[in-house]
Amino acid sequence: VTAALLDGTAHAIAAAIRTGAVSAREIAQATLARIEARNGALGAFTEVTAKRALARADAIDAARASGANLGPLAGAPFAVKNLFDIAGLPTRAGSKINRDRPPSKADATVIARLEAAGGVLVGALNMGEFAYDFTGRNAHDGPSRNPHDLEHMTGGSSGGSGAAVAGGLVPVALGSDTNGSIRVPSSFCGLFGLKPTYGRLSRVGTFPFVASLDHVGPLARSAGDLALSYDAMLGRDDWDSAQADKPAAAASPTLNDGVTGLRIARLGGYFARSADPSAISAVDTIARALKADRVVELAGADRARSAAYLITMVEGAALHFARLRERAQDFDPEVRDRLIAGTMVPGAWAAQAQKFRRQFHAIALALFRDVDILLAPATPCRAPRLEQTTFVLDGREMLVRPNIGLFTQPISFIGLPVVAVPVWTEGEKLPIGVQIIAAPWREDLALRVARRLEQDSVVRAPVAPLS
Amino acid sequence: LTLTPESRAQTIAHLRIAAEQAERLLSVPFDDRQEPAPVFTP
Repeated sequence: VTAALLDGTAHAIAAAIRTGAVSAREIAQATLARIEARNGALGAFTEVTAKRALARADAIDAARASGANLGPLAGAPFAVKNLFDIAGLPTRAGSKINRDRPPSKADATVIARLEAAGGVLVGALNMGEFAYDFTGRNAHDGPSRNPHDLEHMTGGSSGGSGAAVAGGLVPVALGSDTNGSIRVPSSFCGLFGLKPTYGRLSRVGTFPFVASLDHVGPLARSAGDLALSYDAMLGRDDWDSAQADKPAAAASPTLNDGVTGLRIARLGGYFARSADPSAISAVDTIARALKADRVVELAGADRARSAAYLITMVEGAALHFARLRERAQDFDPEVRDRLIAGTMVPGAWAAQAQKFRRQFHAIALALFRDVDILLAPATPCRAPRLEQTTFVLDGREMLVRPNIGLFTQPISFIGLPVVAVPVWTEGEKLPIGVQIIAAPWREDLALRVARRLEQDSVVRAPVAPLS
Repeated sequence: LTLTPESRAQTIAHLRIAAEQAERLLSVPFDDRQEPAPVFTP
């Protein structure tokens, strides 16, 4: 029973604990045993918080015995990318350098909120150094590996989050997404991933990368678990200066409302040009299932991607400038050289990129007057092999690491909410994701569409069949 | 900031990519008074 629950959803685990079919301690112990058994192959966890998890599970069991409300996540395990502060641990952010930082004094806001809703934190997850990565490789901790084929990338930078959820170690993991770092591992590992609207969820207690583009959000094996964890993390946090003054609108109450009446279109132009046939075919599958015949253009998407690229270089370099001067040798060379290049990008380019942001935002908002949901590939291809450094897109050989986010960057550039959904093709070992994109603050609509697709078995996120 | 010999080739390669990206953006005509000091709000 416990093994079946671990392969299922957080929702099902919480329900089983609430009814007493299983205890929170049994789930925590089984989760810790599974991490012990599988993490060596997956490279998902960098720290396991076993003692804390068991204490939290015992508290939940005690609360149940006393008849208290256990919360919507009652006893469901979760883990977080290692850029989230966990009290008592240094926040690595995938780096060697940060291991010298003092232990965090408090948990990140969203961890505290998930635990307040009954979740049980079981550890911290591998990630690309300082989140400047789309591959899931890490020079210090080794790569996270794709559970569906260990020789392939998880995608990054939330690579450990992808490996942990697809490998059945936890039903939900948190990641961060600056240019695609939730949506890329969701695509490569065959998961549901939610990047909320910029300014929606608190980033307090997370190590930044590009503050004007950074988002946090969940990866899960069901749309329902995305909604469950997203709802638990909602709420104002005055310490995050980017947080918008918006009411906390829960997504779960309308999750099963279906797609009737929603105007859905697929993005053409830029989003069809540089994709390989597997990505186009995945969007075809979703569009067909949703009866979305319309193709619309998001004008300026190529420039939006360029602008996001430049802002990332400049803001990332500014954040790490002192570390580059003092500890250059302790960086992953692949990350260091990109950051050094960022220090030399002319200010005029960065200013032009910021100006374009407003223009592109206006173009997207105008498009959303006429549609509710846009469909686009999440990645240009399925997960490359771990050692692969280049791929050919649109007839051009390109570096893998900076270019996997071709289709995610224009969308996060203007902070739109997106759910990545996993599409499988018969005979293929690896999945690929499609972005369900909504207007600002309409996470509920993107989640509804994902849920409908899941109910119709168009998309699915099985645990990888690891031995 | 010191650019060591082992970083030189990759740093130049990344700057070349950045220049390609910038070329796309610099051709966008902006009026001088159009958001001269951008502040992003979603």
